[in-house]
Amino acid sequence: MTATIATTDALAVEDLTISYGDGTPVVSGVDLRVGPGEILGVIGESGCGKSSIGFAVLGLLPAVARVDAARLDVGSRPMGDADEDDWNQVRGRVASMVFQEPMSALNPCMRVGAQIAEVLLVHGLADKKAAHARALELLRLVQVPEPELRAKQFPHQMSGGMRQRIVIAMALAANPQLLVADEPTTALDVTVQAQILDLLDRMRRETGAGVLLISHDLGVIAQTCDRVVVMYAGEIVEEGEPGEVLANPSHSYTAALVASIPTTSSAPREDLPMIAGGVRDSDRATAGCRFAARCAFATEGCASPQTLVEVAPAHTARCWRSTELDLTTRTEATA
Amino acid sequence: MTLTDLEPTQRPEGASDALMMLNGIRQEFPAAGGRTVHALDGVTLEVQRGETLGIVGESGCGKSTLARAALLLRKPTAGEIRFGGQDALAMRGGRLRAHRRRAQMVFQDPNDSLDPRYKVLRSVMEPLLAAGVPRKEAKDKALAALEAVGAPDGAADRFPHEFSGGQRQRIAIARAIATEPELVVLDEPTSALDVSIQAQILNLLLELQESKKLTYMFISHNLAVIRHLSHRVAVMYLGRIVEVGPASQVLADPLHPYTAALLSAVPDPDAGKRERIILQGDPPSPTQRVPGCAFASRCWLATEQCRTEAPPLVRTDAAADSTGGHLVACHRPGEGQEALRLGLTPASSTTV
Repeated sequence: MTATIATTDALAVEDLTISYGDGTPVVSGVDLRVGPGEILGVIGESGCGKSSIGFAVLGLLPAVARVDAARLDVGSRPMGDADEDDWNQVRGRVASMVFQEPMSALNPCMRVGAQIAEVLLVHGLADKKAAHARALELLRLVQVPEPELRAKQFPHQMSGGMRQRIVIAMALAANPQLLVADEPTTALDVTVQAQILDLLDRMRRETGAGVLLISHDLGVIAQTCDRVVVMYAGEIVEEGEPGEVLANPSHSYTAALVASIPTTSSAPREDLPMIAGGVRDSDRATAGCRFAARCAFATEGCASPQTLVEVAPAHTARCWRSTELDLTTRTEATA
Repeated sequence: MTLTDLEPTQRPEGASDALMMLNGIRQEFPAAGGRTVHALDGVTLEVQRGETLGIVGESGCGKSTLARAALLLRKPTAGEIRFGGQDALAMRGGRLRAHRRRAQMVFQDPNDSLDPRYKVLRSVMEPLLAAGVPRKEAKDKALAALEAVGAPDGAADRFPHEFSGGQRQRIAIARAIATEPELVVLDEPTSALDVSIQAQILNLLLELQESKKLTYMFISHNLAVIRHLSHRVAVMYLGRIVEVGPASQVLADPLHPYTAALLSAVPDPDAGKRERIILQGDPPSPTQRVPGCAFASRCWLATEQCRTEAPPLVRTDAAADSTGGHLVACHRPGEGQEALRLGLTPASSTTV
């Protein structure tokens, strides 16, 4: 089986809103597009809604979650009104997921070769013999040494990095158009993280699958992604090419986030700029800027509804003052 | 030859304002099938008064085992620990309890390290009561510690679940400083926190170090955080120290190829996409003690000598200053970083 290079978008989402009961939405008005072979990063802190988006585009949110979208195309399939049967056709075949913790994503009682083959058998894409052959081919693809031996092993016999390679092999088994990777390297050591990020990068080039990479790590995003969206309190506050967004943040939340992290160029043993306060429920319900209460530059105008405005070619920010503020210096971002 | 065979000649002479000295610490654990895990394979290290000594390394390198040994939570298989000039491993009973006031710990996850059924005050008072401080005095000290870390008003009478992760870590820090310790061992204290909360905790740790003249042993896999906080850095690999020295030297001009690879593997938002050394494979199992350099199996510079002969941890710089110098255990020191600088990266590297 050879990889087919996709031509349609891996993911197209318009006006995605996710809420529970009659509470305030956890994600609101999100537009996303992942092209074939593209890696789109989603970054933000706990509770910003980034994982909810990852689950929503695979139909994995619990039944109590209400998902509304003007458009939700996964690969070439419109999934806006999909039911569970439709999702079963899509998951693992058109789109698949790489989870954070490879140990809990794998079945501990099943040999890894059989787990990879299962994806193909469930979707009726191969018979038993062909599925097994494809499993070995996938193990080779994700650079697992001695694939014949490894295929017969159980997950507990492998290191964390090796397990994550198995999870990626499973995700790629049916040549999906979209991979959703939710913190795929957070549980791994940095040298192994470098291997896995390198593998993801190679895989999207070789298979043409688009990748939605969800992470809280600005470094991972900068190193890996073609574009990034920054989430705050359920909204996209900034979008653009990662080098541009991180070097010239145009939303004060992005600037404050970047400034709060020690890096190779920050001054050692000096106070890091902090973001005061936290996200309150009222921030999510406001019609205006959700970051205003914590923003050092907030004025009355921030209470009006904010839209993503273009600050540079292919770089947008949800801040009406973004063109007049200079957020590039580290210290100014202090609240 | 292993590191344990070394005489402690590498200690800087006259440099010692050492609060704690670890000498040839070995920690072995029995493993399945009669094998032995060599978690610490002869660690010699000095913690100087008032400094932050960063300990960096990947999972399984022994950094947390080292922390537990340093705090006398587990008796090492072999080696010597001197704390304030005294033989710490010989302490028993009341002397040991008195000693425990002087060295405290902050754990990674405050959700696990604070008892959910204890009110905050009781958790923070506990080390004081254990050290024999009268209840009234212990309460005052605990409240003062909570105030020093910026815990919210009334925190003492609430339960851990009523706080956010960042606030809980503040409370855990309050417990660690309540006994007015000299040494605080911090084991990944910000790994479980969001980055904006991490900044608050790092700022707090710096402020407390200044105001209370604390000595920190700061353990992390996050090199940026280590760099931000540390005066000196020790790099561990498979139970051994492979490099130690001033943070500005070790992290800018690493001499050990493992340090160079580790540094280049860290994705840096400021650097973006760049040349990296991508190591192949995983660290070898600590049940197999290798005769040569522990890193040889993954090192692109390794020679026959590296595989058969363990390189001793030796000083590389001439200056006998109070920093303790820059030490490395490598037969080919500096070559890894030099190659990276010249763009001559190993075959296993990639350009992204």
